[in-house]
Amino acid sequence: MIRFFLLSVLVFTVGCDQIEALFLEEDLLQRPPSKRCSECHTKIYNQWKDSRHSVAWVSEEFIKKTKNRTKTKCLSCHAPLEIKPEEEPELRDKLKDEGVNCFSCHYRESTNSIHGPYKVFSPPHYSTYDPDYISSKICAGCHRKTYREWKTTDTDKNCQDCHMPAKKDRLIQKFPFKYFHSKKDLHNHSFPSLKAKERDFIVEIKKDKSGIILRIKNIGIPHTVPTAQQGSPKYYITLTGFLEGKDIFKDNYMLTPKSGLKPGKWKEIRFFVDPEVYKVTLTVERKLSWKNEREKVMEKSFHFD
Amino acid sequence: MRIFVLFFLLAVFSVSYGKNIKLKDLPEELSNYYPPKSDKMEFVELMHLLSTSMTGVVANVREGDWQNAEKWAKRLQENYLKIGKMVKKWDKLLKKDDMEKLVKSVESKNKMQTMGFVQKVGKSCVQCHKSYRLSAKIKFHSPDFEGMNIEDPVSGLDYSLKDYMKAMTNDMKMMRIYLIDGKKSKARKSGFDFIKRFDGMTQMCGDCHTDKLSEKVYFGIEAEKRITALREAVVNGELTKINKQLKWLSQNNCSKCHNVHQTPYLLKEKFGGK
Repeated sequence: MIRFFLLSVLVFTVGCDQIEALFLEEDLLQRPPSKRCSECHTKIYNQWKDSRHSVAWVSEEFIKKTKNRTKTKCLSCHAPLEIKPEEEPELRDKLKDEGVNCFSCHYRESTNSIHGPYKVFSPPHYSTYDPDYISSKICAGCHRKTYREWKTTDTDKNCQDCHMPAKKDRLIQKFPFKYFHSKKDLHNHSFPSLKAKERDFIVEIKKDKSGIILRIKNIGIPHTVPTAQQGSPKYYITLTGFLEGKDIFKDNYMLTPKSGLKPGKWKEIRFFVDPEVYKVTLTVERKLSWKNEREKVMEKSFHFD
Repeated sequence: MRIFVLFFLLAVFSVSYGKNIKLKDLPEELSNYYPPKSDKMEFVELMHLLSTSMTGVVANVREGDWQNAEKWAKRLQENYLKIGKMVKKWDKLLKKDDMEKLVKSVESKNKMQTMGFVQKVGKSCVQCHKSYRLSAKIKFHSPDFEGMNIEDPVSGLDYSLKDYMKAMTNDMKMMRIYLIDGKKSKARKSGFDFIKRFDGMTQMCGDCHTDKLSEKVYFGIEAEKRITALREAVVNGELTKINKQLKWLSQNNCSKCHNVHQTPYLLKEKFGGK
């Protein structure tokens, strides 16, 4: 109702074609600092502030790995000028500290407008509905390896379904523009790095004369785990063997993005164990690139006859 | 007489075999124009500009295009003098007078004189390259493994690259020693640890080797097959098969990587690493 009333008043007083000119804030189309976008898109901005995208240029791990940002081929994805589907972006010159910021992903010079997944009336800046934003292709310019892995699967989920989960909310928080649109699926711009669950894996364990053979298959995550274009996330597969109630051996296997659990593929890991164990406990943990602590993904016990 | 000949031969052989090959250290200022201090490679860029300008002068003088020759001579002078501004120590090595005369001779359209000064200026380039080029290549153009840590999949600790390599090669040697000594169980443990550490190398190599081809060379299907075969041989304690797989891995993985990276890295270390 409020929306209809406000629009009617506006159209009546200034006319349709003049509304855009009246409210147009030109600096919004000149790649401003993200803080400027937060004046209207407060919720999205706050989510982005908590994301890894916002620290892509300033993170300690990135600075260390790129030898003080001198490995030039790594840089453009950490402060991209303009993201395009399946295309490596260019490195921008200004506001690098903001990493992957609002205009990196949403501003397109070719249309001089803000691109996104909705057809919206947005007087302060021109907007373009762009179906790329509901496709994994938009992430593929930087997350190339993960995208390639994802393409090998027959999943119907795209990157956004898992890493930008949606919630009904307003795109804008500023008055009066907040009432210009109905509530929509507001996709989480903190890009959560979701943790796999036990149901995402099938595990088989058998014992032979040389030790224990563990077979594990990733059936739930439509990309390799761990995955990364660069960075060094890890998975740890630890096996603890028990004999008469005491743990008598512990051995672990570390998985990197190159040796990780590919979707739909079995991975066989052999654990060397001499004594006759009657029970083993499998623990799967992960460590994200930017963290020092491991997080438990699953734990499961197996008994032998 | 015989003693004299003997001493003469000794002297000759000492000279030929005792030759010291020296790499000159570079002025500290030069590091300002290379990673990690700068990603723009300003000094290399300057060298390219100089080289292009020199070719521009010579080509245009040969074609009798004095207007363009003058343009390139001035660019050459401007960039040549920048060397001394960027690296103070090298300022006194520059043939500034000859450079000035080169410009003047182009302005006066004197072909003979110009080519003479081109040679003189060019000689100063050659001399500098002779003294410092190899050092600069080693110090600034070869990958820096200094300060690189790699998580050890066996202990879970962060190791320096040297310690990691030492641990991995030690596993390989101990696996063989234990097998020869008849300690099968210990050999298996060392063999499994070796494989874990070998796989763990993907953490580091992948930082630079991001394209598919280099991944295929080092961690491709063939390497994977060899590792699987090695694992089987380790389980069964078959030394001949273990040696066969290790030989393939050492030729196709270890040697390739060491030949490309280890030699310049060892030289780089002589400069103090940084």
